[in-house]
Amino acid sequence: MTPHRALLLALPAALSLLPSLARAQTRDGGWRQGHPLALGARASVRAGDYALVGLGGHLRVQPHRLVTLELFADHFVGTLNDALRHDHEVGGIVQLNVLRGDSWALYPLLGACATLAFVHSPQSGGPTVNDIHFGVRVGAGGQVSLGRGFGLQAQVEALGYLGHPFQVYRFTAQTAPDLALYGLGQLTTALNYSF
Amino acid sequence: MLEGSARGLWWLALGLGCAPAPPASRGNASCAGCHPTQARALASSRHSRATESDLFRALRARASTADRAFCDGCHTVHDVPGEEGAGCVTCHQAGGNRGVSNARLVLDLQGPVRGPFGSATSAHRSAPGDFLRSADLCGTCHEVQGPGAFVETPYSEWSASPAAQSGITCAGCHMARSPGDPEAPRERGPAAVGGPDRALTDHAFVGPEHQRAAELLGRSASLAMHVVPNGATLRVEVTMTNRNTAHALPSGARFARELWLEVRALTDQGTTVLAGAPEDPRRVELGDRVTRNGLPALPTASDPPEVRALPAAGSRTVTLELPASVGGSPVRALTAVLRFRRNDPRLRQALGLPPDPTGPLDLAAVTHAL
Repeated sequence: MTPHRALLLALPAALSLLPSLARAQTRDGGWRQGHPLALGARASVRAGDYALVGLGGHLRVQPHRLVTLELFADHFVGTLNDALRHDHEVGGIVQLNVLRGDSWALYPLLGACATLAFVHSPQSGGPTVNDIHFGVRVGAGGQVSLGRGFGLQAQVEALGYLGHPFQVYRFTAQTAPDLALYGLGQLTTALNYSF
Repeated sequence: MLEGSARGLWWLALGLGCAPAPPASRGNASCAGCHPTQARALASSRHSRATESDLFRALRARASTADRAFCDGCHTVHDVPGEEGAGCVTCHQAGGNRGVSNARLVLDLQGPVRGPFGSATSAHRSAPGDFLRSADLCGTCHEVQGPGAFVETPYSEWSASPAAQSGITCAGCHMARSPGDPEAPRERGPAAVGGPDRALTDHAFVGPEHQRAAELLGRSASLAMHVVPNGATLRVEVTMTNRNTAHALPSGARFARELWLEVRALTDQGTTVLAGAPEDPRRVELGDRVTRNGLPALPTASDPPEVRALPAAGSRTVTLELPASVGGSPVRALTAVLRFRRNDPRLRQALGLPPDPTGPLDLAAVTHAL
């Protein structure tokens, strides 16, 4: 089984656990408003100029009730013309919690990220090429309390990347000399725990 | 294939059930024990002598440090003391490339030895090699984009050629038993000592600098001539055709080749060259014209060359006005000859090299009686 297929199977399995967590929500909302720190595990799917699936984690800091800062690291895998592509990304976003209840919040977001992307030739022993892509991201998301400090978060983002294109065909893998812009959409779901 | 104690370790590891990759011996000699036929042929090839050419050495000596490294990417890819050029592992342990040009080959020395069959052997791990069989492997070195006149485009010419459309690769002609004839039946025999009989490829890689170049180049061109008397002169139309459907004529290091049309007149006094002598301003040449600001230049410091080659399967007709008599004797017959010299004497002279001892080859000729 290829890594990205395994992730595609793992994503719905993780999501299927969420209803039972929701039933465990306590009367205090579990949202733990005012707790400034949370850690989360996340799964993402991105598609557009290329498609990848990924797993990662984030640290969420809430310096103000209307503002949440999120630092994240994600690892994506996918294929590119039969070659294995894996991206490793770090970045941060700012959320503005403009709509907010006791146990939920909706927010627009804005962020930036850097990705170290690798492509391995489909040929055994063939070349591997890599490049660093820089991106910006805008989107919207929401989070809801599941109780006992746990929360569910989901967000959609539009991503724009600048980097050298990968050229992969038959026995060749290389990066093109000229920079190119890429557009992607990303859906991310996360399970958070507030401290 | 494995040497001394290494062989012992190999069998020990095999006995423990964890066979490692064999040591990455990169020398041709380590292959020759089991593949003597291929090793002998390779030893005769320009691949295994890619640094021997005095022309190459003279040009390399004039290159910058960065450009020398660029040259060495293909000319010393083997990198084994005592052996030069491209060796067995250059092709048989190539995993791919980072572009089909400019020596961007990726060697996989820890991987299996790739072959057309990938048959198992105790000497080394084996795998069938699609890359080995493809023109992309050859193009990794036989497609060069500069600097200066170092523009060699056999791979891109082939990619757009009728030969590529019909599935004929570089090896089809250059590893054929009869060079230049992909239809010729291949020699049969064991690919390795003690192995089964197979259709073999010729590892001599016959090209224009090989000692068997005449076999290859003799198939490369044809000429047709049409002569119309016009008073005191003869209007001569010569059509030159590249019979090679895979790439231009000449191809590769065109800046170093001399390929020209010579027209000779037969009179009662003997034979006289009417067109194509070295100083003849009407000389028709097919090698690249290398200049800098319009003046003759070395390829190490030239503008992009003027390409005059015949394209794959292409023709060109030239018209010459030649005298109908020589020294008062009427011309009885005209003979057009397409001649080839692997090194252009003007380039060798500019580099301070002695004349190439290899004489010109006649690729094609046609005679018209008057």
